[in-house]
Amino acid sequence: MLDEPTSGLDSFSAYNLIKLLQQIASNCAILCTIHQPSADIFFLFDKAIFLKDGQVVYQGPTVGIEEYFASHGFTCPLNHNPCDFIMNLCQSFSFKELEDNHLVMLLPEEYSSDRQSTKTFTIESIQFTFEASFLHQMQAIMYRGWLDLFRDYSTLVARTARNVVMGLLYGLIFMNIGHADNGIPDNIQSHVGAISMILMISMYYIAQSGMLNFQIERPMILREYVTGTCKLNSFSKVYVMFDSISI
Amino acid sequence: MYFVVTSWLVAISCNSLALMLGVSVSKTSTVTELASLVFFPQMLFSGVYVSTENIPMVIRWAQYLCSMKYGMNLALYNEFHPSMPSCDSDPVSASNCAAILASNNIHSSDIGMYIGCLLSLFVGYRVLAIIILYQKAKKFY
Repeated sequence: MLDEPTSGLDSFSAYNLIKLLQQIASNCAILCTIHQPSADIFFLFDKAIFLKDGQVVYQGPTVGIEEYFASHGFTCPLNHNPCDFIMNLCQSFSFKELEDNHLVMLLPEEYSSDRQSTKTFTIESIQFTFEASFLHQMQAIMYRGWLDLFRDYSTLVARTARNVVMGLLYGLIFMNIGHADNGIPDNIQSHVGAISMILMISMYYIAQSGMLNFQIERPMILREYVTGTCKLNSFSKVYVMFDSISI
Repeated sequence: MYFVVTSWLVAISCNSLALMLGVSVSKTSTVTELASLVFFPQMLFSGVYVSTENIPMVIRWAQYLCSMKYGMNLALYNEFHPSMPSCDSDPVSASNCAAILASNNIHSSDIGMYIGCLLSLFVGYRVLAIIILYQKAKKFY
């Protein structure tokens, strides 16, 4: 069973697809809905069903469909796609008018909706079950974070380059400050300055990379929670515990 | 060697604080606006720009929440403690080193406390982050 297999395809691809389906149909029955087939595609089908308001307007072979409608007073114009013509017909006329023109095929007695159906169907309520265990979920999330770290190539390169450049910069600016004579006030001021700056950059860069991770991953987390793949609990624990690995 | 460890401890505790900030808001633009709230208090309370004695009593308590203060104290002690060769060479250097340690109120007995404070800040901010995430999750669904 196929639902609009040709939607989005150009006419040649659609034709080839239906031709393939026709070959497959020699071994099995294929049922599909189709949207605006061109005339050559329409006649590749063996049978067609047209529905309006839940009732069948036409059910039968595609060959001879124009004659059937012509016999009821609706002639398909020349060089006009019969399928489009019938669709226009069904939508232009009300159901009553079609019925008056005997264009509505009545259902056989046993399928009539007036008769009480003896078959009843119940749909069981859908249960949210978390299939994987907590540890398993955590493992999967951690592995995904690990892969994410190394696959984001440009960020990795930028981060390495930044660390190298900043290291060189600080090394050159504060060169030999540690061995300078602490008696001179300038030296000691530079000494303290060097220590504070190094601590500051180590603080700044690592904190900055940890800040935006949550926002970036939030849509993914929400999607997985809604589909029941992961509990929010496991996300929060993994995220908080192992985020520092990026240092 | 000790300096590297200090630097690492400061980094992870500041990461925890930034993480707590990051999980408390949903939008990226809000986070970038609030980012300076994480970094600048750390720099201000570390004792580099203004001596902690000069900060008014009203706000002085906030220095204990900043990991940078403990990191600076540890690093300064490591660099300027009295038995360092650069501080021992002549009396002027020795007095300068002692002055730095005194102005930041660093005592050798407090070293263990500073390390403990850094680690507890690291753990504490992460626990707060989990609590915030939990509250947000309850409100979401």
